Amino acid sequence: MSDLAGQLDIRIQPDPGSDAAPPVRIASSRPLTAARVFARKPLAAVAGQLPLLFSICGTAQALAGARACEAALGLAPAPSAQWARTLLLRAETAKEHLWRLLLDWPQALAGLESVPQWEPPAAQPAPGEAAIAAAMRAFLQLRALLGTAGDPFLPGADGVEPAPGPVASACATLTGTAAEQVFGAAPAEWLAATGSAADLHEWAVAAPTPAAALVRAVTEAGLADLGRSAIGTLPAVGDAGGLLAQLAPPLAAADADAFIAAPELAGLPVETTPFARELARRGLVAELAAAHGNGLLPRLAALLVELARDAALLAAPWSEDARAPAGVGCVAPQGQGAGTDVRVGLGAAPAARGLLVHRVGLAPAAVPGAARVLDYRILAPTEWNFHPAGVVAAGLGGIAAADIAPPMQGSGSTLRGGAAPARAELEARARLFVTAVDPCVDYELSVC
Amino acid sequence: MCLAIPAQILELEEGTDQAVVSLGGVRKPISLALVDDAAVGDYVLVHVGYALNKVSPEEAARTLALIQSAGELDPAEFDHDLTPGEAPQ
Repeated sequence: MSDLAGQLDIRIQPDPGSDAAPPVRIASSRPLTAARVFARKPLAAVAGQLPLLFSICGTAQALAGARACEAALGLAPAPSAQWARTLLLRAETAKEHLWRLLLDWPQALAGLESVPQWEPPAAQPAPGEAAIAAAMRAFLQLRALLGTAGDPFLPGADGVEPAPGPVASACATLTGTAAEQVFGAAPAEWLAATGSAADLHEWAVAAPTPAAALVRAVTEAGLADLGRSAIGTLPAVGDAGGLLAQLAPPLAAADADAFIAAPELAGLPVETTPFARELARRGLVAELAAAHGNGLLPRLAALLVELARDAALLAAPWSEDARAPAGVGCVAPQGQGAGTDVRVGLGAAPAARGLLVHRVGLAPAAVPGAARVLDYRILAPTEWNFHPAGVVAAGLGGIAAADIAPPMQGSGSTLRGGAAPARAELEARARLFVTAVDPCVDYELSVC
Repeated sequence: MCLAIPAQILELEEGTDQAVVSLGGVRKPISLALVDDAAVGDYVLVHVGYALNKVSPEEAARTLALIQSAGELDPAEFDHDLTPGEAPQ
């Protein structure tokens, strides 16, 4: 067992020949049923253990869990606890997006032969690491501050009153890192000035940041459409929780584990990513998608826009805009509980990588924290996005097909130099696209 | 699921950010570039080759016990990791 968190095994077969094998195969060893550990435990214990077990996106997990439990039991958190949850989720997403933009994307681009103008990061130290380390410290500090007077993620949590100075300081570190390393300006200013594709390109040419260089490199190397496919997006979770109501039956079914391993909406695989979220907002990313579909440049822009919005709100943590509650919850439709004494709730939270959904079945008690968890299921974004026929499989299939196309005269095809370089370039492009969709676990990628 | 497995630092590589940890009984190289003052014997949460943050031996033990009881792991692999603060073998 090389990695206990599990991993994805992605195999690309550019020329499957006559055996009709799919050109891309994705297998996962992610432990999808770990949430069963919560069965038979009291609610208060589960709320504490959720972020301990799933700490990569621990805040989103804690929020989705709290929303599900609150929906099941008819509880509501104090407004200040709600505020603290939203603030910490925003900090978690900003920290994760900084990691992608400052570490993962630069490393993935460095592997491409077709990006000669890209200067690979120096081996020691990687340029983004110091910034990520600062963001990580700020996030952990904020988490500790917000939890000083009690856990704001407990279902029906009481109010919190963290010291304003240290909270503002931790938030300012995250905003400052985004401003210096990514935008070259205050995130709110960047957001206001970058409403169109033309604005984005203008910024990419002028700004001296590593993130601007990423946009330039992707555009100039002709990679804006890389990985483009016809796979659709998971709808956003509205206030009414319409999507949750749609997901409730398959999550309650006897074969729910199979659904969780390879989820589909109305029989089709769909993606849930920052790109999917931004596409629904009809701004810059939607404009880019009109030209480049769900290719690489719209995905990169989605990370930038989400980071800018989160960082701008972190700069004003007590503003009205920053107080809008994150995540939703709903009671499961009737007939989906195991009996009359069972309350079933669903909760969802926008995690950094996509929508996270929790379903909990509870036996109520006199005190909410003593309610007993009977059943716990988690549907994570990686299972939507790395579905065997999902957005990554389709995108990689397109990349493989493009790279093995016969070179056209004077086209500068990636087949120049023979089969081995073409294969290396195919693998590097595949890694870049996988990085852009971003699994929450390690992966092995092989080109057969 | 995005499990974060606590790992105990076994060795530090002089002059670099690299270290070797015991992850479920398996030796694995990781980067300590994102954490401060990590020492041999400390527990860290590991994600895709990086230590994310240090955790106390008690929290590491609680998390490992949780993962074990989830049935995801072979308990035999964890025997030597489950004593908080124990010097690495």
